[in-house]
Amino acid sequence: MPIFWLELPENFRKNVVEHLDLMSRHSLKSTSTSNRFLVNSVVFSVPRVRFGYKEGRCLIMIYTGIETFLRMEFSKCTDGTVIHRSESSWDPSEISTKSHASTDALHLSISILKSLLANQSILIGALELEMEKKTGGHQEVIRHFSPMTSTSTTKFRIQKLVFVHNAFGGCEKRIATAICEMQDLVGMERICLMISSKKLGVTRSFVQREKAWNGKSMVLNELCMRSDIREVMHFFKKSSDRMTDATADESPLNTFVQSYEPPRPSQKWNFERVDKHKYILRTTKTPCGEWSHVLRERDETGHMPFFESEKCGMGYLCRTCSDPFEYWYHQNLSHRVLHEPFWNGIWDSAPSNELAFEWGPSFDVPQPLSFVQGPTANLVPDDVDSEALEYSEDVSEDNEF
Amino acid sequence: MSCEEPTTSPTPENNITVVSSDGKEFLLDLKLTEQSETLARLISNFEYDRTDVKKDPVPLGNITSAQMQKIIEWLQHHRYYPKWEQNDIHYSTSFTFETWVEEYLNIPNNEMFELLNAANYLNIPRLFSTICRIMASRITGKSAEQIRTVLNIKTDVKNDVYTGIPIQEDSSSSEDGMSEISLSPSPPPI
Repeated sequence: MPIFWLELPENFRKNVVEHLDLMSRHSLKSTSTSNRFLVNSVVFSVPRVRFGYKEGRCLIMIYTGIETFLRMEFSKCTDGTVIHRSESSWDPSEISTKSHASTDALHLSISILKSLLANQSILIGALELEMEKKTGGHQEVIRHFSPMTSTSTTKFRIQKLVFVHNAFGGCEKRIATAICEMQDLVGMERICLMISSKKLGVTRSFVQREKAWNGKSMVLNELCMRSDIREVMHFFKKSSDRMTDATADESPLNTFVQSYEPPRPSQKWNFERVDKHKYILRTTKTPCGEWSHVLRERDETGHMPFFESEKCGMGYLCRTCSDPFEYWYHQNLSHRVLHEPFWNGIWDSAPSNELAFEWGPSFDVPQPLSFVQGPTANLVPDDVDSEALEYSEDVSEDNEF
Repeated sequence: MSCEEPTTSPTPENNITVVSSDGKEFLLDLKLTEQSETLARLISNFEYDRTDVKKDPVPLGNITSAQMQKIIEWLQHHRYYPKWEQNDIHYSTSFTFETWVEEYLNIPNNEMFELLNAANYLNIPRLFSTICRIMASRITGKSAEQIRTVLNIKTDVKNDVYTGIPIQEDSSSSEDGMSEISLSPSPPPI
Protein backbone atom coordinates (compact mmCIF):
# COMPACT_ATOMS: atom_id res chain seq x y z
CA MET A 1 0.00 0.00 0.00
CA PRO A 2 1.56 3.30 -1.07
CA ILE A 3 2.48 5.84 1.56
CA PHE A 4 1.69 9.43 0.72
CA TRP A 5 3.99 12.35 1.45
CA LEU A 6 1.34 14.01 3.56
CA GLU A 7 1.07 10.93 5.79
CA LEU A 8 4.71 11.18 6.82
CA PRO A 9 5.62 12.76 10.14
CA GLU A 10 5.68 16.56 9.99
CA ASN A 11 9.13 16.71 11.56
CA PHE A 12 10.41 14.57 8.68
CA ARG A 13 8.82 16.76 6.02
CA LYS A 14 10.21 19.88 7.68
CA ASN A 15 13.63 18.29 7.92
CA VAL A 16 13.57 17.52 4.19
CA VAL A 17 12.63 21.13 3.43
CA GLU A 18 15.53 22.33 5.57
CA HIS A 19 17.89 20.61 3.15
CA LEU A 20 16.41 22.10 -0.01
CA ASP A 21 17.85 24.97 -1.99
CA LEU A 22 15.75 28.00 -2.85
CA MET A 23 14.47 26.81 -6.20
CA SER A 24 13.62 23.33 -4.97
CA ARG A 25 11.71 24.93 -2.13
CA HIS A 26 9.85 26.97 -4.71
CA SER A 27 9.04 23.86 -6.73
CA LEU A 28 7.81 22.01 -3.66
CA LYS A 29 5.66 25.00 -2.73
CA SER A 30 4.03 24.75 -6.12
CA THR A 31 2.97 21.13 -5.71
CA SER A 32 0.11 21.68 -3.27
CA THR A 33 -1.35 24.11 -0.82
CA SER A 34 -0.28 22.04 2.16
CA ASN A 35 3.29 21.97 0.88
CA ARG A 36 3.16 25.73 0.46
CA PHE A 37 2.34 26.04 4.16
CA LEU A 38 4.98 23.44 4.97
CA VAL A 39 7.74 25.25 3.08
CA ASN A 40 6.69 28.58 4.52
CA SER A 41 7.08 27.15 8.01
CA VAL A 42 10.79 26.47 7.50
CA VAL A 43 13.11 29.48 7.60
CA PHE A 44 15.57 29.78 4.75
CA SER A 45 18.50 32.18 4.83
CA VAL A 46 19.66 33.93 1.71
CA PRO A 47 22.95 35.74 2.31
CA ARG A 48 22.54 38.32 -0.42
CA VAL A 49 20.15 39.43 -3.13
CA ARG A 50 20.76 42.00 -5.83
CA PHE A 51 18.07 43.91 -7.65
CA GLY A 52 18.92 46.30 -10.43
CA TYR A 53 16.96 48.54 -12.77
CA LYS A 54 18.65 50.38 -15.59
CA GLU A 55 17.60 51.52 -19.04
CA GLY A 56 14.47 49.38 -18.93
CA ARG A 57 16.40 46.26 -17.96
CA CYS A 58 16.08 44.54 -14.60
CA LEU A 59 18.33 42.19 -12.73
CA ILE A 60 17.61 39.71 -9.98
CA MET A 61 20.54 37.88 -8.50
CA ILE A 62 20.02 35.61 -5.55
CA TYR A 63 23.11 34.31 -3.81
CA THR A 64 22.60 31.23 -1.68
CA GLY A 65 26.27 30.66 -0.92
CA ILE A 66 29.78 31.06 -2.22
CA GLU A 67 29.80 30.63 -6.01
CA THR A 68 26.13 29.68 -5.80
CA PHE A 69 23.57 31.98 -7.31
CA LEU A 70 20.48 32.29 -9.42
CA ARG A 71 20.62 35.10 -11.93
CA MET A 72 17.78 36.48 -14.00
CA GLU A 73 17.97 39.43 -16.31
CA PHE A 74 14.87 40.96 -17.86
CA SER A 75 14.79 43.07 -20.96
CA LYS A 76 12.11 44.20 -23.37
CA CYS A 77 11.59 42.56 -26.71
CA THR A 78 9.01 42.98 -29.44
CA ASP A 79 6.66 40.39 -27.95
CA GLY A 80 7.08 41.23 -24.29
CA THR A 81 9.98 40.54 -21.99
CA VAL A 82 12.97 38.29 -22.49
CA ILE A 83 14.34 36.54 -19.41
CA HIS A 84 17.90 35.29 -19.36
CA ARG A 85 18.35 32.80 -16.56
CA SER A 86 21.48 31.12 -15.26
CA GLU A 87 22.51 29.26 -12.15
CA SER A 88 25.96 29.48 -10.60
CA SER A 89 27.60 29.90 -13.97
CA TRP A 90 28.78 32.66 -16.25
CA ASP A 91 29.13 30.31 -19.18
CA PRO A 92 26.95 31.76 -21.98
CA SER A 93 26.03 28.26 -23.12
CA GLU A 94 24.40 27.62 -19.75
CA ILE A 95 22.15 30.67 -19.90
CA SER A 96 18.59 29.75 -20.77
CA THR A 97 16.28 32.24 -22.40
CA LYS A 98 12.54 32.54 -22.16
CA SER A 99 10.03 35.12 -23.20
CA HIS A 100 7.06 36.38 -21.28
CA ALA A 101 4.03 38.22 -22.59
CA SER A 102 4.37 41.00 -20.04
CA THR A 103 5.68 44.17 -21.58
CA ASP A 104 6.59 45.66 -18.23
CA ALA A 105 9.94 44.17 -17.28
CA LEU A 106 10.05 46.11 -14.02
CA HIS A 107 6.66 44.87 -12.88
CA LEU A 108 7.47 41.32 -13.92
CA SER A 109 10.84 41.23 -12.17
CA ILE A 110 9.53 42.75 -8.95
CA SER A 111 6.61 40.31 -8.98
CA ILE A 112 9.03 37.42 -9.27
CA LEU A 113 11.26 38.86 -6.58
CA LYS A 114 8.29 39.13 -4.25
CA SER A 115 7.00 35.71 -5.18
CA LEU A 116 10.34 34.14 -4.35
CA LEU A 117 11.49 36.11 -1.36
CA ALA A 118 8.79 38.23 0.22
CA ASN A 119 7.82 35.71 2.81
CA GLN A 120 8.21 35.33 6.54
CA SER A 121 10.20 32.14 5.99
CA ILE A 122 12.90 33.85 3.91
CA LEU A 123 15.54 35.81 5.77
CA ILE A 124 17.72 37.92 3.48
CA GLY A 125 21.15 38.87 4.78
CA ALA A 126 21.47 41.85 2.45
CA LEU A 127 19.40 43.27 -0.37
CA GLU A 128 21.55 45.29 -2.72
CA LEU A 129 19.74 47.82 -4.89
CA GLU A 130 21.21 49.29 -8.02
CA MET A 131 19.50 51.95 -10.06
CA GLU A 132 20.36 54.39 -12.73
CA LYS A 133 20.15 57.97 -11.70
CA LYS A 134 17.26 59.34 -13.69
CA THR A 135 14.30 61.52 -12.96
CA GLY A 136 11.37 59.55 -11.64
CA GLY A 137 13.14 56.19 -11.72
CA HIS A 138 13.18 55.81 -7.97
CA GLN A 139 9.50 56.57 -7.68
CA GLU A 140 8.74 54.04 -10.40
CA VAL A 141 10.52 51.27 -8.51
CA ILE A 142 9.01 52.22 -5.17
CA ARG A 143 5.57 52.27 -6.80
CA HIS A 144 5.99 48.66 -7.94
CA PHE A 145 7.14 47.64 -4.50
CA SER A 146 4.43 49.67 -2.83
CA PRO A 147 1.65 47.02 -2.64
CA MET A 148 3.82 45.56 0.09
CA THR A 149 2.83 48.33 2.39
CA SER A 150 -0.73 47.07 2.52
CA THR A 151 0.08 44.00 4.58
CA SER A 152 3.12 43.42 6.71
CA THR A 153 3.32 39.77 5.76
CA THR A 154 4.35 40.51 2.21
CA LYS A 155 7.37 42.62 3.03
CA PHE A 156 10.89 41.33 2.77
CA ARG A 157 12.75 40.19 5.85
CA ILE A 158 16.04 41.99 5.24
CA GLN A 159 18.85 42.43 7.71
CA LYS A 160 20.81 44.95 5.71
CA LEU A 161 19.69 47.20 2.91
CA VAL A 162 22.55 48.07 0.58
CA PHE A 163 22.46 50.91 -1.93
CA VAL A 164 24.89 50.91 -4.77
CA HIS A 165 26.67 54.22 -5.18
CA ASN A 166 24.01 56.80 -6.05
CA ALA A 167 20.98 54.51 -6.13
CA PHE A 168 17.99 55.86 -4.25
CA GLY A 169 19.96 58.82 -2.98
CA GLY A 170 17.85 60.74 -0.52
CA CYS A 171 15.03 58.21 -0.28
CA GLU A 172 16.73 55.37 1.58
CA LYS A 173 14.39 55.56 4.53
CA ARG A 174 11.36 55.65 2.29
CA ILE A 175 12.29 52.50 0.43
CA ALA A 176 13.35 50.78 3.64
CA THR A 177 9.95 51.51 5.12
CA ALA A 178 8.22 50.31 1.95
CA ILE A 179 9.89 46.94 1.51
CA CYS A 180 11.52 45.88 4.79
CA GLU A 181 10.16 44.26 7.91
CA MET A 182 11.60 46.84 10.25
CA GLN A 183 12.19 44.47 13.15
CA ASP A 184 14.60 42.47 10.97
CA LEU A 185 16.44 45.44 9.51
CA VAL A 186 19.73 45.99 11.30
CA GLY A 187 21.14 48.72 9.15
CA MET A 188 21.70 50.32 5.78
CA GLU A 189 24.86 50.64 3.79
CA ARG A 190 25.89 52.55 0.72
CA ILE A 191 28.77 51.04 -1.17
CA CYS A 192 30.91 51.93 -4.13
CA LEU A 193 33.96 50.34 -5.63
CA MET A 194 36.97 52.23 -6.78
CA ILE A 195 38.18 49.98 -9.53
CA SER A 196 41.64 49.38 -10.80
CA SER A 197 42.86 48.02 -14.09
CA LYS A 198 45.67 46.23 -12.34
CA LYS A 199 43.99 44.36 -9.54
CA LEU A 200 40.86 42.31 -8.98
CA GLY A 201 40.76 42.07 -5.21
CA VAL A 202 39.64 44.69 -2.73
CA THR A 203 42.51 45.83 -0.56
CA ARG A 204 41.17 48.88 1.24
CA SER A 205 37.94 50.26 2.46
CA PHE A 206 36.81 53.58 3.87
CA VAL A 207 33.97 53.23 6.29
CA GLN A 208 31.96 56.21 7.41
CA ARG A 209 29.38 55.59 10.11
CA GLU A 210 26.49 58.00 10.15
CA LYS A 211 23.95 58.79 12.80
CA ALA A 212 21.70 55.80 13.34
CA TRP A 213 18.10 55.99 12.16
CA ASN A 214 15.54 54.38 14.46
CA GLY A 215 18.29 52.18 15.82
CA LYS A 216 19.40 51.13 12.33
CA SER A 217 23.05 51.71 11.57
CA MET A 218 23.92 53.85 8.58
CA VAL A 219 27.24 53.14 6.93
CA LEU A 220 28.97 54.51 3.89
CA ASN A 221 31.54 52.06 2.56
CA GLU A 222 33.97 52.85 -0.19
CA LEU A 223 35.83 49.76 -1.30
CA CYS A 224 39.07 50.22 -3.09
CA MET A 225 41.02 47.94 -5.42
CA ARG A 226 43.80 50.42 -5.79
CA SER A 227 46.77 50.77 -3.47
CA ASP A 228 47.44 54.38 -4.04
CA ILE A 229 48.51 57.03 -1.58
CA ARG A 230 45.83 59.31 -3.03
CA GLU A 231 43.09 57.11 -1.59
CA VAL A 232 44.63 57.37 1.86
CA MET A 233 44.86 61.10 1.55
CA HIS A 234 41.31 61.26 0.32
CA PHE A 235 40.12 59.31 3.33
CA PHE A 236 41.88 61.50 5.86
CA LYS A 237 40.77 64.66 4.12
CA LYS A 238 37.22 63.45 4.14
CA SER A 239 37.46 62.32 7.74
CA SER A 240 38.91 65.64 8.76
CA ASP A 241 36.04 67.49 7.08
CA ARG A 242 33.54 65.13 8.65
CA MET A 243 34.89 65.74 12.14
CA THR A 244 34.89 69.49 11.56
CA ASP A 245 31.36 69.60 10.23
CA ALA A 246 29.80 67.20 12.72
CA THR A 247 27.10 68.68 14.89
CA ALA A 248 26.97 68.45 18.65
CA ASP A 249 24.49 65.59 18.69
CA GLU A 250 26.59 63.45 16.36
CA SER A 251 29.52 61.25 17.20
CA PRO A 252 31.03 60.44 13.80
CA LEU A 253 33.42 57.55 13.43
CA ASN A 254 35.35 56.91 10.26
CA THR A 255 37.55 53.89 9.66
CA PHE A 256 40.25 53.20 7.14
CA VAL A 257 40.94 49.51 6.60
CA GLN A 258 43.89 48.11 4.77
CA SER A 259 44.83 44.48 4.13
CA TYR A 260 48.43 43.42 3.75
CA GLU A 261 49.82 42.46 0.41
CA PRO A 262 51.45 40.04 0.72
CA PRO A 263 49.97 38.75 4.00
CA ARG A 264 51.99 39.32 7.14
CA PRO A 265 51.18 36.43 9.47
CA SER A 266 54.08 37.40 11.69
CA GLN A 267 52.78 40.94 12.18
CA LYS A 268 52.60 41.61 15.90
CA TRP A 269 49.53 43.17 17.43
CA ASN A 270 50.17 46.86 17.78
CA PHE A 271 48.00 49.78 18.84
CA GLU A 272 48.73 53.46 18.61
CA ARG A 273 46.69 56.50 19.53
CA VAL A 274 47.61 59.83 18.00
CA ASP A 275 46.08 63.24 18.61
CA LYS A 276 45.82 64.98 15.25
CA HIS A 277 44.46 68.25 16.60
CA LYS A 278 41.18 68.03 14.65
CA TYR A 279 40.65 64.40 15.48
CA ILE A 280 41.98 61.32 17.24
CA LEU A 281 43.57 58.57 15.19
CA ARG A 282 43.46 55.08 16.69
CA THR A 283 45.47 52.65 14.58
CA THR A 284 45.61 48.92 15.19
CA LYS A 285 47.88 46.50 13.38
CA THR A 286 47.32 42.77 13.55
CA PRO A 287 48.18 39.75 11.38
CA CYS A 288 44.79 40.32 9.72
CA GLY A 289 45.70 43.80 8.52
CA GLU A 290 45.49 47.29 9.90
CA TRP A 291 42.70 49.73 10.52
CA SER A 292 42.50 53.29 11.73
CA HIS A 293 39.55 54.86 13.47
CA VAL A 294 39.17 58.59 13.16
CA LEU A 295 36.98 60.43 15.62
CA ARG A 296 36.71 63.56 17.69
CA GLU A 297 38.32 63.43 21.11
CA ARG A 298 35.03 64.38 22.76
CA ASP A 299 33.38 61.27 21.27
CA GLU A 300 36.08 58.83 22.29
CA THR A 301 34.55 57.84 25.61
CA GLY A 302 31.23 57.08 23.96
CA HIS A 303 32.84 54.81 21.39
CA MET A 304 35.07 53.08 23.92
CA PRO A 305 32.79 50.04 24.45
CA PHE A 306 32.88 49.49 20.68
CA PHE A 307 36.67 49.73 20.59
CA GLU A 308 37.11 47.45 23.56
CA SER A 309 34.88 44.75 22.07
CA GLU A 310 36.43 44.99 18.64
CA LYS A 311 38.61 41.96 17.95
CA CYS A 312 39.16 42.61 14.27
CA GLY A 313 38.28 45.83 12.54
CA MET A 314 39.01 44.61 9.03
CA GLY A 315 35.37 43.97 8.20
CA TYR A 316 34.81 42.37 4.79
CA LEU A 317 38.51 42.50 4.06
CA CYS A 318 39.53 39.91 6.62
CA ARG A 319 39.86 36.43 5.22
CA THR A 320 40.12 34.96 8.71
CA CYS A 321 37.56 36.80 10.81
CA SER A 322 34.81 37.85 8.42
CA ASP A 323 31.97 35.65 7.29
CA PRO A 324 33.30 33.49 4.41
CA PHE A 325 30.47 34.52 2.11
CA GLU A 326 30.91 38.21 2.89
CA TYR A 327 34.64 37.97 2.24
CA TRP A 328 34.11 36.11 -1.02
CA TYR A 329 31.38 38.46 -2.18
CA HIS A 330 33.30 41.67 -1.61
CA GLN A 331 36.55 40.33 -2.96
CA ASN A 332 34.74 39.39 -6.16
CA LEU A 333 32.88 42.64 -6.70
CA SER A 334 35.36 43.60 -9.33
CA HIS A 335 34.42 40.55 -11.40
CA ARG A 336 31.34 42.43 -12.49
CA VAL A 337 33.65 44.30 -14.81
CA LEU A 338 34.16 41.03 -16.64
CA HIS A 339 30.82 39.27 -16.25
CA GLU A 340 28.23 42.01 -16.31
CA PRO A 341 29.71 45.31 -17.41
CA PHE A 342 26.20 46.68 -18.01
CA TRP A 343 25.52 46.65 -14.27
CA ASN A 344 28.28 49.06 -13.43
CA GLY A 345 26.50 51.19 -10.86
CA ILE A 346 28.82 50.12 -8.10
CA TRP A 347 31.90 51.37 -9.86
CA ASP A 348 33.43 54.62 -9.05
CA SER A 349 35.80 54.64 -11.93
CA ALA A 350 36.37 58.34 -11.90
CA PRO A 351 39.91 59.42 -11.17
CA SER A 352 40.55 59.87 -7.50
CA ASN A 353 40.81 63.59 -7.73
CA GLU A 354 37.28 63.72 -9.12
CA LEU A 355 35.82 61.35 -6.61
CA ALA A 356 32.45 62.54 -5.44
CA PHE A 357 30.31 60.33 -3.31
CA GLU A 358 26.84 61.41 -2.44
CA TRP A 359 25.20 59.84 0.53
CA GLY A 360 22.01 61.76 0.03
CA PRO A 361 20.72 64.90 1.68
CA SER A 362 18.87 63.03 4.39
CA PHE A 363 22.08 61.97 6.06
CA ASP A 364 23.48 65.42 6.50
CA VAL A 365 26.80 64.59 4.95
CA PRO A 366 28.76 67.40 3.40
CA GLN A 367 28.52 66.86 -0.31
CA PRO A 368 29.92 66.54 -2.75
CA LEU A 369 32.85 65.01 -0.94
CA SER A 370 35.59 65.88 -3.32
CA PHE A 371 39.14 64.84 -3.23
CA VAL A 372 41.45 67.79 -2.86
CA GLN A 373 44.90 67.65 -4.26
CA GLY A 374 48.18 68.98 -3.04
CA PRO A 375 47.76 70.62 0.34
CA THR A 376 45.95 67.64 1.81
CA ALA A 377 49.15 65.63 1.82
CA ASN A 378 49.82 66.82 5.34
CA LEU A 379 46.63 65.11 6.48
CA VAL A 380 48.18 61.72 6.00
CA PRO A 381 49.32 60.37 9.36
CA ASP A 382 52.96 60.79 10.08
CA ASP A 383 53.47 57.08 10.50
CA VAL A 384 52.07 56.20 7.08
CA ASP A 385 54.85 55.14 4.77
CA SER A 386 53.87 56.83 1.53
CA GLU A 387 56.08 54.67 -0.60
CA ALA A 388 54.77 51.50 0.96
CA LEU A 389 51.25 52.59 0.13
CA GLU A 390 52.01 52.98 -3.53
CA TYR A 391 50.73 50.27 -5.76
CA SER A 392 53.13 47.40 -6.02
CA GLU A 393 53.99 46.27 -9.51
CA ASP A 394 54.42 42.76 -8.26
CA VAL A 395 50.97 41.58 -9.22
CA SER A 396 50.34 37.95 -9.89
CA GLU A 397 49.08 37.06 -13.33
CA ASP A 398 45.95 35.58 -11.85
CA ASN A 399 44.80 38.95 -10.65
CA GLU A 400 45.37 40.80 -13.86
CA PHE A 401 42.60 41.55 -16.27
CA MET B 1 25.54 -10.65 14.62
CA SER B 2 23.62 -9.75 17.68
CA CYS B 3 20.37 -10.31 15.81
CA GLU B 4 18.78 -13.72 16.02
CA GLU B 5 15.22 -14.75 15.38
CA PRO B 6 13.38 -16.32 17.04
CA THR B 7 15.28 -16.93 20.23
CA THR B 8 14.57 -19.75 22.60
CA SER B 9 17.82 -19.68 24.50
CA PRO B 10 18.03 -17.82 27.81
CA THR B 11 18.43 -14.06 27.30
CA PRO B 12 22.01 -13.00 27.82
CA GLU B 13 22.60 -10.30 30.39
CA ASN B 14 23.54 -7.65 27.87
CA ASN B 15 20.66 -8.26 25.47
CA ILE B 16 16.98 -7.46 25.28
CA THR B 17 14.29 -9.02 23.14
CA VAL B 18 12.03 -6.91 20.93
CA VAL B 19 8.94 -8.28 19.22
CA SER B 20 7.82 -6.97 15.82
CA SER B 21 4.18 -6.38 14.85
CA ASP B 22 4.06 -9.75 13.07
CA GLY B 23 5.25 -11.56 16.19
CA LYS B 24 8.91 -12.19 15.39
CA GLU B 25 11.41 -11.83 18.19
CA PHE B 26 14.78 -10.16 17.79
CA LEU B 27 17.58 -10.30 20.30
CA LEU B 28 19.24 -6.90 20.53
CA ASP B 29 22.58 -6.08 22.09
CA LEU B 30 22.15 -3.28 24.64
CA LYS B 31 25.05 -1.49 22.97
CA LEU B 32 22.99 -1.25 19.76
CA THR B 33 19.94 0.12 21.53
CA GLU B 34 21.93 3.18 22.58
CA GLN B 35 21.33 4.54 19.06
CA SER B 36 17.58 4.43 19.59
CA GLU B 37 16.42 7.08 22.03
CA THR B 38 13.10 5.25 22.47
CA LEU B 39 14.73 1.94 23.40
CA ALA B 40 17.45 3.59 25.47
CA ARG B 41 14.84 5.43 27.52
CA LEU B 42 12.79 2.28 27.97
CA ILE B 43 15.82 0.31 29.10
CA SER B 44 16.74 3.07 31.51
CA ASN B 45 13.20 3.32 32.90
CA PHE B 46 12.85 -0.43 33.46
CA GLU B 47 16.49 -0.77 34.55
CA TYR B 48 17.05 -3.50 31.97
CA ASP B 49 20.75 -2.70 32.06
CA ARG B 50 20.89 -4.32 35.51
CA THR B 51 21.67 -8.01 35.66
CA ASP B 52 19.22 -8.72 38.49
CA VAL B 53 16.18 -7.33 36.65
CA LYS B 54 13.98 -9.69 34.63
CA LYS B 55 13.73 -8.45 31.03
CA ASP B 56 10.37 -8.88 29.40
CA PRO B 57 10.19 -8.82 25.60
CA VAL B 58 9.51 -5.32 24.26
CA PRO B 59 6.61 -5.20 21.80
CA LEU B 60 7.14 -2.90 18.83
CA GLY B 61 3.64 -2.85 17.44
CA ASN B 62 4.39 -0.33 14.67
CA ILE B 63 7.36 -2.13 13.17
CA THR B 64 7.25 -5.20 10.95
CA SER B 65 9.91 -7.88 11.04
CA ALA B 66 11.25 -6.78 7.64
CA GLN B 67 11.62 -3.23 8.89
CA MET B 68 13.20 -4.43 12.13
CA GLN B 69 15.70 -6.48 10.18
CA LYS B 70 16.64 -3.39 8.18
CA ILE B 71 16.87 -1.28 11.33
CA ILE B 72 19.17 -3.78 13.00
CA GLU B 73 21.38 -3.75 9.93
CA TRP B 74 21.73 0.02 10.37
CA LEU B 75 22.40 -0.25 14.10
CA GLN B 76 25.07 -2.87 13.52
CA HIS B 77 26.87 -0.78 10.94
CA HIS B 78 26.91 2.27 13.20
CA ARG B 79 27.72 0.35 16.36
CA TYR B 80 31.05 2.09 16.89
CA TYR B 81 30.15 5.49 15.47
CA PRO B 82 30.39 8.48 17.81
CA LYS B 83 27.20 9.60 19.44
CA TRP B 84 24.93 11.53 17.06
CA GLU B 85 25.24 15.28 17.35
CA GLN B 86 22.21 17.29 16.28
CA ASN B 87 24.31 20.27 15.31
CA ASP B 88 26.75 18.48 13.11
CA ILE B 89 26.23 20.98 10.29
CA HIS B 90 28.72 19.42 7.92
CA TYR B 91 27.07 16.06 8.15
CA SER B 92 23.50 17.21 8.23
CA THR B 93 23.57 19.49 5.20
CA SER B 94 25.66 17.42 2.84
CA PHE B 95 24.19 15.35 0.02
CA THR B 96 27.27 13.16 0.05
CA PHE B 97 26.82 9.73 1.59
CA GLU B 98 29.16 6.89 2.30
CA THR B 99 28.90 3.99 -0.11
CA TRP B 100 27.38 1.68 2.46
CA VAL B 101 24.59 4.18 3.18
CA GLU B 102 23.87 4.70 -0.51
CA GLU B 103 23.49 0.94 -0.98
CA TYR B 104 21.51 0.56 2.21
CA LEU B 105 19.02 3.23 1.16
CA ASN B 106 18.90 2.28 -2.49
CA ILE B 107 15.30 1.26 -2.03
CA PRO B 108 11.98 2.48 -3.46
CA ASN B 109 10.45 5.54 -1.84
CA ASN B 110 7.65 3.46 -0.37
CA GLU B 111 10.09 1.24 1.51
CA MET B 112 12.07 4.27 2.55
CA PHE B 113 8.97 5.93 3.96
CA GLU B 114 8.24 2.76 5.95
CA LEU B 115 11.79 2.70 7.22
CA LEU B 116 11.44 6.35 8.09
CA ASN B 117 8.36 5.68 10.16
CA ALA B 118 10.26 2.95 11.99
CA ALA B 119 13.24 5.26 12.56
CA ASN B 120 10.90 7.96 13.79
CA TYR B 121 9.12 5.55 16.15
CA LEU B 122 12.37 4.21 17.56
CA ASN B 123 13.88 7.70 17.49
CA ILE B 124 17.15 6.87 15.72
CA PRO B 125 18.31 10.38 14.81
CA ARG B 126 21.22 9.43 12.56
CA LEU B 127 19.01 7.23 10.41
CA PHE B 128 16.19 9.75 10.47
CA SER B 129 18.44 12.59 9.37
CA THR B 130 20.06 10.46 6.68
CA ILE B 131 16.71 9.54 5.18
CA CYS B 132 15.75 13.23 5.23
CA ARG B 133 18.88 14.12 3.32
CA ILE B 134 18.42 11.27 0.87
CA MET B 135 14.86 12.36 0.24
CA ALA B 136 15.92 16.00 -0.16
CA SER B 137 18.59 14.95 -2.64
CA ARG B 138 15.95 13.10 -4.67
CA ILE B 139 13.81 16.20 -5.14
CA THR B 140 16.48 18.89 -5.33
CA GLY B 141 16.55 20.53 -8.75
CA LYS B 142 13.26 19.02 -9.82
CA SER B 143 10.19 20.81 -11.10
CA ALA B 144 6.91 20.80 -9.22
CA GLU B 145 5.48 18.12 -11.49
CA GLN B 146 8.54 15.89 -11.03
CA ILE B 147 8.36 16.32 -7.26
CA ARG B 148 4.71 15.29 -7.32
CA THR B 149 5.74 12.06 -8.99
CA VAL B 150 8.68 11.37 -6.70
CA LEU B 151 6.78 12.05 -3.49
CA ASN B 152 3.43 10.69 -4.59
CA ILE B 153 1.74 14.01 -3.95
CA LYS B 154 -1.89 14.51 -4.82
CA THR B 155 -2.25 17.93 -6.34
CA ASP B 156 -4.75 20.46 -5.11
CA VAL B 157 -3.67 23.20 -7.48
CA LYS B 158 -4.83 23.93 -10.99
CA ASN B 159 -2.69 24.15 -14.07
CA ASP B 160 -2.40 27.29 -16.11
CA VAL B 161 -4.53 26.77 -19.20
CA TYR B 162 -1.91 28.26 -21.49
CA THR B 163 1.30 26.92 -20.08
CA GLY B 164 0.19 23.77 -18.31
CA ILE B 165 2.15 25.00 -15.32
CA PRO B 166 0.59 24.63 -11.89
CA ILE B 167 -0.73 27.77 -10.32
CA GLN B 168 -1.84 28.45 -6.79
CA GLU B 169 -5.38 29.23 -5.87
CA ASP B 170 -4.62 31.79 -3.24
CA SER B 171 -4.35 35.52 -3.69
CA SER B 172 -0.84 35.47 -5.12
CA SER B 173 -1.67 33.02 -7.88
CA SER B 174 -0.78 35.30 -10.75
CA GLU B 175 2.64 36.08 -9.35
CA ASP B 176 3.41 32.45 -8.74
CA GLY B 177 2.28 31.55 -12.19
CA MET B 178 4.71 34.05 -13.60
CA SER B 179 7.55 32.98 -11.41
CA GLU B 180 7.03 29.35 -12.28
CA ILE B 181 7.31 30.14 -15.95
CA SER B 182 10.74 31.57 -15.65
CA LEU B 183 12.08 29.77 -12.62
CA SER B 184 11.37 26.17 -13.34
CA PRO B 185 14.67 24.31 -12.87
CA SER B 186 14.43 22.79 -16.32
CA PRO B 187 12.73 25.41 -18.43
CA PRO B 188 11.56 24.27 -21.82
CA PRO B 189 13.17 25.99 -24.80
CA ILE B 190 11.36 28.86 -26.43
